[in-house]
Amino acid sequence: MRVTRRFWLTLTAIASLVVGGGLLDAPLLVVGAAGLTGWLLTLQFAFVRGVSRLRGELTVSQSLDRTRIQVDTETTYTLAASVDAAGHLPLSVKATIPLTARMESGPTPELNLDTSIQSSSVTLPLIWETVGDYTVPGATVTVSDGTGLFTQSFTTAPGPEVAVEAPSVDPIHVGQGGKQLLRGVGEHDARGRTGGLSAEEIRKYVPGDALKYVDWKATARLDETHVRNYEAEGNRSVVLLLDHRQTLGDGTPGETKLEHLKAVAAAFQQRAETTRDPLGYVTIDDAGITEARVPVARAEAYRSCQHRINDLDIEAEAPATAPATAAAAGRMTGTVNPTADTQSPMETTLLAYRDAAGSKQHLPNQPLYNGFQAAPREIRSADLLVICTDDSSPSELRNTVGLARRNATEVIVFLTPSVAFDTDLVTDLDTAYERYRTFDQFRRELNEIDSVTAYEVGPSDQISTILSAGPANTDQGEYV
Amino acid sequence: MSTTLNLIGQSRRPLPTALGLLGIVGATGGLLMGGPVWLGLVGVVLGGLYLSGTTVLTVVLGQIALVTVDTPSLLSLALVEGGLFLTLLSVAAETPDSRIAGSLVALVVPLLGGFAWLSLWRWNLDPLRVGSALLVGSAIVGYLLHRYLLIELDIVTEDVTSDRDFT
Repeated sequence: MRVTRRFWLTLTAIASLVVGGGLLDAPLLVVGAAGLTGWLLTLQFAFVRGVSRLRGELTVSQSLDRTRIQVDTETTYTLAASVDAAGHLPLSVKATIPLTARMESGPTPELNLDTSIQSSSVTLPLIWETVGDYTVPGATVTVSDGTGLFTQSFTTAPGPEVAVEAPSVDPIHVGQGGKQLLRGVGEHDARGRTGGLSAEEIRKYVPGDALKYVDWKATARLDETHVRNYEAEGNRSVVLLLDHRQTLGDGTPGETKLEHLKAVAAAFQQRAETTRDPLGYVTIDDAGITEARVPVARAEAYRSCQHRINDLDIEAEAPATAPATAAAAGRMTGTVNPTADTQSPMETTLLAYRDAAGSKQHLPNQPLYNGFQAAPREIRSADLLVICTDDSSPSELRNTVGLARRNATEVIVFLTPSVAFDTDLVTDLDTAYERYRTFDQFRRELNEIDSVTAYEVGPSDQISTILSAGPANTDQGEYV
Repeated sequence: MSTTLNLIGQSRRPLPTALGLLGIVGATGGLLMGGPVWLGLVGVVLGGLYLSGTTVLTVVLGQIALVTVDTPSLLSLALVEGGLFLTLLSVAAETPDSRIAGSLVALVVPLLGGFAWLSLWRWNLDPLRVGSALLVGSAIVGYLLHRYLLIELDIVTEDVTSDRDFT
């Protein structure tokens, strides 16, 4: 309970009467002070009683018209208050809007219920500006007595929850050869591998099975070598390798390659969080690694990854020259290497041998490769590496996948075909179709590598348009 | 941008100022009965103060005016004190919980005033000591009421250490 200035003035008046009565030897003043003191205490008691009663009769509700929205989307917020009985103490109800929500109507929503008003409500639009899960805090109720001597504030229960999500692009095509992927992005089988904790089945030994999985009891019993298959542990470390170089900015605003890949990466992040898989990420731009987190299965790691995906953007300025880029990366050696895309077959072969030998040699103009190579060991040795990039530098991607395969159990590549993000696509569909075929050949080439799966990611309508220019048929599902 | 405000309410009857004005008139009459004529002017001032919403000042000024009367008769004393009491009662009657507040004022104010009267005239206690004891006692009661309300609202618990969290 807070006392007001009026209360202190009243108390001063009472004290003045007491002091005056004592100094002037005027007992009547003290009698007056006693009467005023009794009056003040009585009003305080009445206020305490009124607030206690009001707490049970007051209903404050806060609501939003939607619980799941996208960033910069408008929602309707309603604050309502009602008191069951008439003749209550005057009160005001003030809502606390989260900082991430913007109100266009100005001041914080507030309701004033005078003694004669039983219910009131206010509705106003809120625009949510930041991704995340939010709860509208409880409203603050301030009660005052009719004489202006006392006030009391208390907070109601928290308001509605809202999940603010990043804006999504139009329907995304994720698939192979124009055929939509049927399984959800990010899903994976946890079975089919040996190792892990719980036994699944016993089967006959086949050449290549590790000796440690031989079930000797079953072998003795069945008089034939058997191995025990284990149900693999579901949680495997996942690392997202996110490319956000200049070329990823192709496409119309809001529908760029990067936006599509961010949607795929977000799906993996959500999947990893659901299955509690350790999750890490590396983001790479033209200058090299911009951020890296080793895989861990903690809530902060999932949030960090989610925020990083949402915040991922194309750098405003491209590096001036290739050497400058390399210098910025700070990891270049003085060795002169041929540009990746101009490598001869012999150079490619030799480089592969050098990589196989474990060399830490960095390649010029290959920030994706160099960045992944320079990443912490926990990232390079993750169970699953998800590469999200485009097809602008096939050799670099090939090198990166080769490097990743040496460490990671499995590699999934999500590629955005540049042709699907050309704005003047409709002018020359035949050329676009040929470019798409070249892309798909590259994707298949990656897909044929052991434990590597490559998918294309792009706008569904654009890919359908490209495939419609095919010579044999126009059904994208039939593209081979 | 659209903001809507809906109000549902009931009209309330006018504030009972008549009771307070009656008290002012009674107090003025009491002052005029036992004192000089110029105290009538004080009565006018009392009425003005009351109508301007400063009831406490009205009572304080009325009490001081009563002291200026040399030897007030019992009737004039009763009129002044009774009038000022009605003034205080009218404020309690204006509160939402008027019945409880009015009853309590009708009970507590005469009780405390009578107790002070007895202390000063019957028991011949020092006015300053009586006044100090009165202030200390009321501060304790006021604090207990304050504490009770905080517990009622779950702002603090009965555990004293929880006061640390109270701001």
